[in-house]
Amino acid sequence: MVTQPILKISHLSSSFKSGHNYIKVVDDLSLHINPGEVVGLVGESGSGKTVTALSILQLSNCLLEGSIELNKHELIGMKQEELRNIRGKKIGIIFQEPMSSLNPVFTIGKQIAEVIENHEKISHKQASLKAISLLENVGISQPDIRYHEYPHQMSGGMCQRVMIAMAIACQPQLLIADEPTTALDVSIQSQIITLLKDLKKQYNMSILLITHDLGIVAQLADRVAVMYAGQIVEDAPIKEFIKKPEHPYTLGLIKSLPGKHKHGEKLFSIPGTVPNPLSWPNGCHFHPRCSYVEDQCKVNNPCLFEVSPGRQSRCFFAGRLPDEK
Amino acid sequence: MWSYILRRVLLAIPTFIGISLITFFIMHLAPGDPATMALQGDSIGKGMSAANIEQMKETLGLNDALPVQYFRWMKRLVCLDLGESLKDHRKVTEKIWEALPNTLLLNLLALIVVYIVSLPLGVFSAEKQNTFFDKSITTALFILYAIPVIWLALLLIMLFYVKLNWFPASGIQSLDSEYMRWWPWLFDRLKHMILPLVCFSYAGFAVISRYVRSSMLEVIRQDYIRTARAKGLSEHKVIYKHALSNALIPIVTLLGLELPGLLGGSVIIEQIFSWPGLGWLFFDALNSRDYTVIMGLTVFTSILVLLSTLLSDILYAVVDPRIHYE
Amino acid sequence: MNKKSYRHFIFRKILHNRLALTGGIFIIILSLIAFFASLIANDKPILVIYQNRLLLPCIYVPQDLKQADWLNIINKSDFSISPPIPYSPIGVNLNECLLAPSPSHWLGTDENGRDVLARMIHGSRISLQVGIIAVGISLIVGVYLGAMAGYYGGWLDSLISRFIEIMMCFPFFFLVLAVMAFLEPGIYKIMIVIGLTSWTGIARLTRGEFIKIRNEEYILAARCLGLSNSKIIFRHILPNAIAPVLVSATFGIASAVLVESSLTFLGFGVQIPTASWGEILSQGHKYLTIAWWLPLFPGLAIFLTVLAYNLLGEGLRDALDPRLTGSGDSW
Repeated sequence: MVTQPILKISHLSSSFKSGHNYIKVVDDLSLHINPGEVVGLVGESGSGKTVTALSILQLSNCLLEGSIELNKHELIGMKQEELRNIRGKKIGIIFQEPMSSLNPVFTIGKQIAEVIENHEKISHKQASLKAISLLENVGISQPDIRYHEYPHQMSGGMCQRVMIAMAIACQPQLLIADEPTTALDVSIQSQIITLLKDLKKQYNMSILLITHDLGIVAQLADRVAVMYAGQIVEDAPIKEFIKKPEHPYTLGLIKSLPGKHKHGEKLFSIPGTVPNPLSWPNGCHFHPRCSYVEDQCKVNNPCLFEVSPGRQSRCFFAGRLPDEK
Repeated sequence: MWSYILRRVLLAIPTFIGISLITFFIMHLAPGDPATMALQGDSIGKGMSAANIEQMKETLGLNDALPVQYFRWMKRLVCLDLGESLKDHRKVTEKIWEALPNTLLLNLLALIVVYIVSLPLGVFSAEKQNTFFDKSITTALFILYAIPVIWLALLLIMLFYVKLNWFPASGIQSLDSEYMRWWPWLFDRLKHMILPLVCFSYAGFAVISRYVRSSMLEVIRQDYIRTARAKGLSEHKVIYKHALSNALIPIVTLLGLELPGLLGGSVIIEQIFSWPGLGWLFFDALNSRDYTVIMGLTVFTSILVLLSTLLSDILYAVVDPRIHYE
Repeated sequence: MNKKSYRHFIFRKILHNRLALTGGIFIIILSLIAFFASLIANDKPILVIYQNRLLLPCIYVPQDLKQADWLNIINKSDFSISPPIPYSPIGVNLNECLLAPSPSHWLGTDENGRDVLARMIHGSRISLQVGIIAVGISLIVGVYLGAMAGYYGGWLDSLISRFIEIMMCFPFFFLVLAVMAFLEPGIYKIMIVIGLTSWTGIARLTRGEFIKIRNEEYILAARCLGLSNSKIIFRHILPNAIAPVLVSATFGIASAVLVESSLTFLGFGVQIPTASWGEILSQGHKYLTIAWWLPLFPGLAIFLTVLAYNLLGEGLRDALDPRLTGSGDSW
């Protein structure tokens, strides 16, 4: 039995308009998410991961090429009313800065009730009752009192819980979490991740978790896709990925994790810096920093090669990279 | 919120003292002194001898040290005693009280007109940013703003009174208005108000709609607007519920800032249209060198401005939940 | 970008803004007209050879000809060049009062028979002089107070801010007119009074800029190097803070021109017989029903001048706005 992916992104390119030119920030991205699966989209700042997330719901001001399918319905080019039916209802999204993502002049309870009222035909009173139970579900104590509070009266962690409540209010099939814990204290981070884990089980939804923190991905994700300079360079189940990465960049990432070093040894870092979209190299985007580079890498852009079933890598040497000691 | 309001009210007190100090300073800029000036205005006084003038000065307390004079003046000020007009010896406060409703009527109406026009204009311009609509409105308002009020007033009178005779050019009502019935009387008053009202409001259109537009543009860029869209709300709700409610908060404070401009403009506009308000009273006092009325009006209007600024600060605290619930 | 190329950059940006350029050209032309007013509109000839003497009466009149009838002299002269508008702004000619525009008086005459165009040309001098000097004064006062408040902070800031707030409570015209009523009117007094009452906006702006810049790292570095406060203020912070202030000053000139015209219109500005646009307008008010040219033309002149300065100010503001220079987008 082959499960249909809930979300299927094929050859997506997102370009920003700058003056009279278009600058591509996401290049030929293909990704799929299966029902009930958590996919981590990992990358450094400037790799294009947030733009990818926003492009799914067409919240970025980008020109989109390619295809994004939600349950076989094409999202790119969809009419505005249909798109609004998807936002908040079939796909929910939470953002990096929860405090500024909530409207400061409305109570948090009203903002949650609003999304329920917008998508379901129920009365205002019922919507607010539902909102209160959602608040309880995401771990906010005294939800009936908190309902009437304003965002500025709450902490960052609580605001993020409110955002999560808003995003899952209509039981979406997919939750996109764009750097949900980056702006929060470390102690709160693990609470939010645990909350997401519980909610995923409770609502049986898929999650696209976007982050630069491999540690969070390891806790929560089933699969990980690594982005570099606008492209996905590796796509693998999480355990296999951590055991043995199959791309020079991801190899470097795993190597630079502090846990893997002996005491007193110098920390490893990949030489060079991430290129910005205006100056992506020809050929493979990673080749200037790669220790395995050969001539063909400088000219040809590798596509995603299948290393093993369910595992892909964007490298001419995928599957043949020498083991590191 | 109440601590914020209390703080603002307390801060108003040194400002009030400052206003009185500066007014007092201006009064003593004159080459003569109030006694001599008072006597010069009075035909009987012109014949008084120097010794009598000295005696007058003594009685009025003008030979005391300046700080003493200041405190005496302040005491009277706080008791709302602004002295007597040098021209007709009526109490200054009485004359102000008579003229105030006429000015307030025009100014408040002008404020209402300005906001009714500018709010939708600013919001539409922001929504349709950089389209032909936005650009042409911005250009038209820019040109409108540069028109001097003295020119516009005269042009309006030339067109609508001299040429077309649609609206009268002076006064607040016609000479026979006392004999009119209710509806024609109202109509008559409105006809007299239109031209001065246009002169008061046209500059505000450009300023306020520009503020509204830039406030909206600022708000639309915020994260919470992206969240509102991500919730699947209609664009209409995103703009008119989520964006507008935030954009209007700073606009509320502009109410207080519009008043000094309106009051200042009333000196010119009321003089041109013979509208018997504070500005007209001021101009009349200037021409007859009625110094007590001049200073009384200066202090009075400054305090009006102080109060309106205070009011808009308080309004801001009421309207913005971030300050309301501290 | 170093300072010189930054200035060139801003200059080029303004040049590309056609509207601002139009405003700038208008101002330059107006300034030239104002500067050469005596040579453009005068009843005396520009150059005349009379009795074997070469005279430039518009610039200098020798003692023996102070009361001369210049029309006579022109007729009797060997050679003369007259100004394009051969009327004096202050010469009274009651035979020709309140004439509509005609080929001999292009913009008509006023109640004293004086040519309106000649008066307007000389009036431009008054308007521009008052505009520039008044704004200059308000710049000096405003920048100084704003810099002190912004840089030193603390009680000095509180004091100056309170002072600014107090000054802003006085409706501008009430304040200016009250002061003018107590003093005898005169053009220099007008300039000073306008300057001393309109500095508050500039002070606020300067203060804001100083507060922003004072915490930047290069200022902290300068402090660590032991530079004196005044050096830091004038050589390091001020050049960076001055940009929005200049924008404000440009709008301020437009405002000062308006104020001067309004003051003269009300009778408290420059006194007769000096020509001023406001004065012709006040005549326009008197003779509204019979002389349409009296309100129309000077008002148009004020309008165009204000528009020109506003366009220039907008152009300057757009040129200096970092967001529009296309610097740094981050995704």
